[in-house]
Amino acid sequence: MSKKRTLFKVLSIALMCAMLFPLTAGAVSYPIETDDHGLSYWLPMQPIASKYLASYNEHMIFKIINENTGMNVNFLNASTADAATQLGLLVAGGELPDILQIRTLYPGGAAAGVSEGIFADLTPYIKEFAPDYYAAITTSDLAYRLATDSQGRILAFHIIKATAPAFNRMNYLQEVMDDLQLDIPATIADCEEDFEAMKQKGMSGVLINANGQQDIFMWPFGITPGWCLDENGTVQYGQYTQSYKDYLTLMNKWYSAGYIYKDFMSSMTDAERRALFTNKVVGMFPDAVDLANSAAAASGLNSQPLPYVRLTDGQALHFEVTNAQALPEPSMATVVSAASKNIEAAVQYLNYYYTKAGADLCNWGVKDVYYTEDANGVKTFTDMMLNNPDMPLGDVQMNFKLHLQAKLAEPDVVCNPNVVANEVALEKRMRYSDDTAIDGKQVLPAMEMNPEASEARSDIMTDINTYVDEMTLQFIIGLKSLDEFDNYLAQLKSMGIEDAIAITQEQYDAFMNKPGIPN
Amino acid sequence: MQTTPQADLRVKPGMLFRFRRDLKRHPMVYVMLVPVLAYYIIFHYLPMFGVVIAFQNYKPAKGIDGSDWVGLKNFITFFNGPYAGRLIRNTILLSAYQILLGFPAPVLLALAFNEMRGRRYKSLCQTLSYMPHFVSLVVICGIIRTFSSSTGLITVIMSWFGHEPMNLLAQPHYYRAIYILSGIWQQIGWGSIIYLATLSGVDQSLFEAADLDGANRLQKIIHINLPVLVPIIAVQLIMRVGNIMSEGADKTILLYSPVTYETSDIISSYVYRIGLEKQSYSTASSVGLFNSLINMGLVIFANWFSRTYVKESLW
Repeated sequence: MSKKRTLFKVLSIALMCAMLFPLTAGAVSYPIETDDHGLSYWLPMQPIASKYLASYNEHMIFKIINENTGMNVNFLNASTADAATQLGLLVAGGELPDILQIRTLYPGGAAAGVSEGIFADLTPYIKEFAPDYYAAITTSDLAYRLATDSQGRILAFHIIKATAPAFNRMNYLQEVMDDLQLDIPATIADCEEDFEAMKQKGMSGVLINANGQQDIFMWPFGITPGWCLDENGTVQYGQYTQSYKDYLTLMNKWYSAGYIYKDFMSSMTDAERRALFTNKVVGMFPDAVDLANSAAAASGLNSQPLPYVRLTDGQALHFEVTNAQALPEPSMATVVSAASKNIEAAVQYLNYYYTKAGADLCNWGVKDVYYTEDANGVKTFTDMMLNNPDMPLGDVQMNFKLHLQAKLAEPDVVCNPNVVANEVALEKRMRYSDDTAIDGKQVLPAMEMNPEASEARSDIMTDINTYVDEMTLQFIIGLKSLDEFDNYLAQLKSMGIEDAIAITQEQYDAFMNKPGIPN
Repeated sequence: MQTTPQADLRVKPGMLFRFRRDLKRHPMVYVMLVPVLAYYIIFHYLPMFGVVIAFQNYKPAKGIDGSDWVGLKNFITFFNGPYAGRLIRNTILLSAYQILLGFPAPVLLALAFNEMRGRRYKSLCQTLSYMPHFVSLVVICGIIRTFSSSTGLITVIMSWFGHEPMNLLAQPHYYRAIYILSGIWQQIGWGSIIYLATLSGVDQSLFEAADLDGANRLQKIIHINLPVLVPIIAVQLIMRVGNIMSEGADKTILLYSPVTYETSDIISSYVYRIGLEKQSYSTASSVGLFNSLINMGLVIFANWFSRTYVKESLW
């Protein structure tokens, strides 16, 4: 792909995002006028940030947001690794901070917390105290439905973003490709040829997820891990389909042939997994394209992202989430505690992240220090961001801007320093964005289920998830014969999977029929 | 012998009197006891009231007072579920193997150390055997995982004997052996200290008498050293049997993976997963309560067994 074409694509995405971003509603003024300027905010801390900061109280952007909003926010940090456990203990302890970034960590989500009385229903506050957020979630009926629960209530602040093509792909090293004279694989059969060549060289072909459920290899079989839609738009559970047997058969064949890294099921950190790739222990590696690129570059190597492989050339795949439209998604769900003494100020504070000033701080950092903006509003990172002598490029995202945050987000191809740092990285990121045989038709929307349905499904799925994880690995490494797959399906049925599917279908139908933006 | 209520009345003032007299004589001893008592009251007795959530659909937000009562539903759900039998079996088997193999190991090591004559060599061996105890369990498990991987040291050695290289920790049938042998390696030295201390107090005249009777070293071990160790072995065994269902979750969580759940998943790891990761506190509490009741029964049984057959007991 030519540089010009890549640039055109990225600019198109940037322009599209800019057009979709709501104009500032502007009914709230900052600094916030309130008697009590103190707020507390529970926020899982990213490992990269914790390399440099003792807590988010020291984070430059949060400090500036404190100044701009006039609030004195005290951050309570949890490590990302056991954030769910710590959130559980925090809730059990009873004394909640004013704001919590619950992400998808709280069982039943924000709706469950509101019905239990620990999180505040924000519906009465949003229009008045968070007009910018309200504007962002009312850009379309779909956006509004995603931002509200089954009763139409607004319970959380979500990250709102348009997404460029998905950033996770399989990756090769150019050096391995040259050494073994490999081409970019297009089909499963191509992969097998490559893996055989790698095996002859003493390498493992591919490192798959530790639970053996590798989405990219499931997609050609018409499924993805967990909840999704079938070809007719009906809810299905990927691991409870006959197609799953086809996927497992392939994985078992690859494992037996020595194509899959033998210890893939071991608990490894991301760094350990990447080291297997950069040390050429494995040939094909699933990772975010930009991270694989920077990890390879750090070892003096050159990674190459791969297209999604198919059973046959040109096969249509329906599981990539690419939203041209800026939509809310629950991965950074942030709620306000029902016990907060200053809910209005908390809502106003969170609204700041959806104002232009707040979003620019989050997405770009400090103006004229980390980025510049020309007369046409086009922003460009400075060397302080892209070539900082004190911090590697992979780390600046977490330290000089706010990445994982409920905010109005711009896509990574526009403002992720790791991606936009150089034309090569950006080109890699965008390389397959013109693949027209890919869409998200079978992706189940990230809908907010009602608490009762969520709890009922969770009760069923706890043991089922354990069983699926266990059996998947046993099928792949050959401890269980695939002749027993029907028994596996029967066991899932006896454990109540069909009730869980029925619950999900009902919730999906309700979501699709839910009213959109109120008049 | 049965006591009458009158007999009880006669005893109680006596006990109180003795307590007061002892308190006056040794006040500092009782002062030293206070933190220990406080620890047990605060961290072991008061939290017991929390087991009530095992009978509720506990929601932290609603608290114990506000959560709905569900009676025995959590217990029924657990026992009707697919994993109750497997969890109980795995827990008991892992503990039983540890008692069978892991419990005698420090005793044997202590006896061996006691027989060693070269002082410098003896202290070197002792120090080396204690060292793994001081290494963090996380590090120990990291070493185990590395050595057991498909290219790990143990796997390579096994491959010299024709064993196909594979990740040993991904094989359910190897899991218990790895778990128990690594546990013995880590704790054998530290566990032997208490027995060595006991052996150091043996009356030397017994050995002189045995020498006069012409006893060899093995006979002296069997007839002098082992009987001396019996009381401490009995107490340790009762304590260990009492924890048979309480095999710690930490090492299991660090070593297991879904592929070995068949043999590795135990009650405490399940409670951890369900309680803390899935935040299903009531289910986890009901399983934990069941576990504790079984443990209590086992302690009572072990104490009775020891009192009856070994003539040594905790009460």
